Amino acid sequence: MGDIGSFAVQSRELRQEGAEWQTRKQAVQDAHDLADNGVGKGYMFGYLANVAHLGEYHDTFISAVTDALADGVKTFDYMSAALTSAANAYDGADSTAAESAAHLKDRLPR
Amino acid sequence: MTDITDWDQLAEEVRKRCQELFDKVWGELNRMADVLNDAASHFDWVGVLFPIPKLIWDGLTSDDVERAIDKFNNEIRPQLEQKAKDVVADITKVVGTLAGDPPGLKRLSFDYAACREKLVYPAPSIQSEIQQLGKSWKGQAFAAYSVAAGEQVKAMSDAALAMERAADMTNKGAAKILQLWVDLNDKLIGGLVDVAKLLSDATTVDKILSLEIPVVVSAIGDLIAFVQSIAKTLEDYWIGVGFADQLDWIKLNNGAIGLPHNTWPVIHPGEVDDISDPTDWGVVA
Repeated sequence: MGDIGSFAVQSRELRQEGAEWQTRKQAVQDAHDLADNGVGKGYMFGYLANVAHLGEYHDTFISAVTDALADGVKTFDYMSAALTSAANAYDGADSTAAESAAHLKDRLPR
Repeated sequence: MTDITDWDQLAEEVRKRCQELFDKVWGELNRMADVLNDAASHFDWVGVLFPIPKLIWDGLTSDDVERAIDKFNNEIRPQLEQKAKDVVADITKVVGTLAGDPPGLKRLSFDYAACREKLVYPAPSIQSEIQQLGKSWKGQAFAAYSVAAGEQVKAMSDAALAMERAADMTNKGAAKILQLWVDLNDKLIGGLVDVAKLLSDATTVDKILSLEIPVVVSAIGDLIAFVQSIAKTLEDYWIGVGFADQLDWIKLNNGAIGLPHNTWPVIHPGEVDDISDPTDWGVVA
């Protein structure tokens, strides 16, 4: 996909916004890694708690939220890439190129 | 108050308490046997010198000593030994149900709290970012982005809320287990003191004769009652946490708190199409 034109000021706004999503992506990645420490650790609540199924509730929740955060990382990666790609399409610089829509969509969680 | 920080430490403390119970019961029984042997041998020796049917020594007759020996052999020793063995077996069994890993839970709660901190993003609000971007961009892509970005950032705060609850619940659970472990050990120590006092009072033949076995057996039985009450408290706590009081784990589990259904929000395909197509971004003149 080629350049649409030269809109350096406007595309800079898109790039900055894309960078914000990269920062958010890292935050969600860090959150994911911390939550992941709890996967399968419901047994720590002990025998009596697990009679009340608390260990299962914990494990199901932590697994689900860890998966969700992994999806968040991919989604934020897409957001960042989509904004950067649009900026590339508009800034008119030969060294940058917009990413195809199909390629961008591949970044999203399946 | 004892300081117990993990399961191995509790198990060791309980093992020590049970050993103390055995030592105390067996030690006191041996001491009583010595008292009775001394009295019996005194009558044997005096009986050789003065062969009369009713000897009185130190306010006791030989019949009193025989009755005390019979009571010791047939009631005191078998009942106390059996009770001590039964109680130690019961304590071991019930304490096993109190197992858990509070230090591990504490570490998890700190991880979950840190996870929440990561998700509470310390940056300009997404609304201000969108507003700023809107000064330069418009069109279908910008409109789609504005909706999607708001939903995506909200997902971070939703997940943060869930992790905050998870951190809180995990921390409370760890604290409850630790507190009950300490209570258990302290109550065992107190109960052993009561048992020891009752047994150590039987220092003479007449006190052995008047020893109220049911009272001692009951005091030993109180030890398992302490342990059972602690186990019941912990069980009630977990059931309260899980089903009646807070329901937080259930709400977290089914996604009623935090991210809806515990899944990350999907960007609408139409919005993805718009955002992904550079020609849908319009430059503000």
